[in-house]
Amino acid sequence: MGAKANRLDEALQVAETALLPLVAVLMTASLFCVFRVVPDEVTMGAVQRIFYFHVPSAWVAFLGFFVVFAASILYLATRRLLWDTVAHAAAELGVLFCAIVLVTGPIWARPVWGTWWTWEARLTTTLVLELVFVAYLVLRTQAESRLQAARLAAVMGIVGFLDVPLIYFSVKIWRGHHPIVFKSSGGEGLEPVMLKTFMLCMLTFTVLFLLLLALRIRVGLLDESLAELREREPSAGA
Amino acid sequence: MSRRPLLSAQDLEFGFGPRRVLKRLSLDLRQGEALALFGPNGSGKTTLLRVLATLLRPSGGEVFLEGVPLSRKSDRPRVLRRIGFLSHQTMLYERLTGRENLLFYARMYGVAQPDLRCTELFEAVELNGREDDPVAEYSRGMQQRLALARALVHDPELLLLDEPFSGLDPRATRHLGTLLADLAGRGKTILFTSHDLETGLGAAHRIAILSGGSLAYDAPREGLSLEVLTRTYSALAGRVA
Amino acid sequence: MVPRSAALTICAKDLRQELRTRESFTSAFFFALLVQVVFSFAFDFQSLGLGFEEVGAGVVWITLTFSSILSLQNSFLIEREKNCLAALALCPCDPSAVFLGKLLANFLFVLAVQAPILPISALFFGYDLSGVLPGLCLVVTVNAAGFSALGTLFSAVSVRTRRSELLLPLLLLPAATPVVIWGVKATRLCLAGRALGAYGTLVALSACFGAVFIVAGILLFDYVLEE
Repeated sequence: MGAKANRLDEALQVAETALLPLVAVLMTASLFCVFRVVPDEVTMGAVQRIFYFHVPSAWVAFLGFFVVFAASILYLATRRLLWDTVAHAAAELGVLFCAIVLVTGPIWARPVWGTWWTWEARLTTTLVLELVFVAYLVLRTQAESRLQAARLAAVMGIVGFLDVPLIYFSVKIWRGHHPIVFKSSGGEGLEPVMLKTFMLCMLTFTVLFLLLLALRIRVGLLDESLAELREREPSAGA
Repeated sequence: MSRRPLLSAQDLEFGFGPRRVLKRLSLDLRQGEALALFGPNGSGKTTLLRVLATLLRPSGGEVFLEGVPLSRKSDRPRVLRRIGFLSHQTMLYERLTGRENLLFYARMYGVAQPDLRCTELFEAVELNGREDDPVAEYSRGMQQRLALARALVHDPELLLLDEPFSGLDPRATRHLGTLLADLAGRGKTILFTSHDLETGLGAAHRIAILSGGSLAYDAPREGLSLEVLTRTYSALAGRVA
Repeated sequence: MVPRSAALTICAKDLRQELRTRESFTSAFFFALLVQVVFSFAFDFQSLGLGFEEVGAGVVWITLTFSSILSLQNSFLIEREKNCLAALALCPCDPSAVFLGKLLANFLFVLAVQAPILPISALFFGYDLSGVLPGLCLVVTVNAAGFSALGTLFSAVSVRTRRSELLLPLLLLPAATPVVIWGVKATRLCLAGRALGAYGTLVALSACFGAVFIVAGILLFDYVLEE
């Protein structure tokens, strides 16, 4: 690995070493709060606790897609493959957390509304975004070379993110201005302990995202080094 | 002839992923020179030509066209007007006629009096009479000639031709050789690649061999016999990168 | 070269090719017809008592979306043959001119297919289009523009990849959601005989969508055209 790459790898390892215990602590605290501290919600009962994972996941997915957007622009401007690795990592995490939203949503919906799926505005938007960024990942696999994948994915990353507000807006119009369920139910926004727990979970998930991002970027960089080594000595390694 | 080279490539680096194809390749082409570039398959001849034509961005190094760096986007249109490129593929629209193809490119390059220019070119490449047939009906040799006409439509100073002789029968090869000699005679700068050492030797002022990612051999044509060239080529082409 | 002339030259070239072979139009038109027929079998609107006012919007937009993909794909496939894409990259015009020229041609192809298909759709339902024709034309035109903008950009992105035929719909359909939603809603209001004021906002939103992605295409096409 080059000297620069080494420094980057070290920096990422430092970040991981710092973040891992932090995530552990925050996650433990969050789980404790969600399952032990916070009272049952008035109308929905115990299942409402999913909200503390559902919404932060959506936030993290959005954060991921924003990182894809920023990294894509940086890649096209600088042509440094590092930015492409960042974009790839962030897209994978975005897709993952979107999937979590799409799974926790129905788990929440079933007991509350008696149906697994509902074409409610935010869930539908999440589904469409998931499809957009899954297509982004598929594009990467179908490109003919690393450079082509980086370039085309960067264009798609920018276009996809620009589409996000348009998609959100259009789905909202489609569904009419229905209030989002958890707002209408009781004093959720007002109960201090619920709000604090919610903010804790948001923080936890954000830090978790950063940790996973650092890890995934480092894996991506190691992959590249491996490919380079293989190129130089095709006989070495499996 | 001016001192400054028309085309100057400096320390070019290019790789497909981790596989490096061009390694610190430097090349200078003077105005009016015809350079034949030989090299085995996979040596990077096509890649080099595409980098010189601005189709590929090198990962290192820079190419200058009379001092203007090719990487500068603002100068791109000016640079492109001075380069004519012939690739392995004809870059022709097969459903359109020869004339429609050439007219299209003439208009895209902003050629004055496109109709006249096309007629001139059809005569020069000996395709007059067939210009209103769809390109799909042309033979390989005819398509190659039309592709050359396309590369010449805007009267570029620099011609980058990737294996222009491949797939041509002896008559077409001779004709192309004459055409290139004529162009060189009129002061055009030509860089072409070839597998055919004899034809290449006949059509060029200068010979180069690409091996190991850079120019392993570079000499004027005068005094170079086909035998010597063949031996040199065999020796160098066997070299592993 | 002035970008507009280069764009028009490219558009003219595409139109000329299409007029010569009619391959894009024929495949898109018959596919659109097939979609209509399959829909009628699948949903049996007649026995459900549903008229064009209720389902026409959906039928129109599903037809347009899926049949347009065929002509959008073809748009850059004809450039990929014989590497004409590289030739376009070598032309001294702004890359955005290539995008705009292709976009204009694609837009015209989409409209060319919809022009006969819309009356045929209405015919299948026994609906009289004459009252709503101006409004319907406006809705279809504006939304087709946005759809074509996105489609042209994505077609160029996917053309050099493997499985490009699969990738284009995969990329385009979710991203085109706003156009489909706004298009359907506006069409439904239009077919119900409502005045322009009722769906004018939706048309304006679609126009914004089109504008955003035309600008995005202009700015990003340079990177797409590169090899």
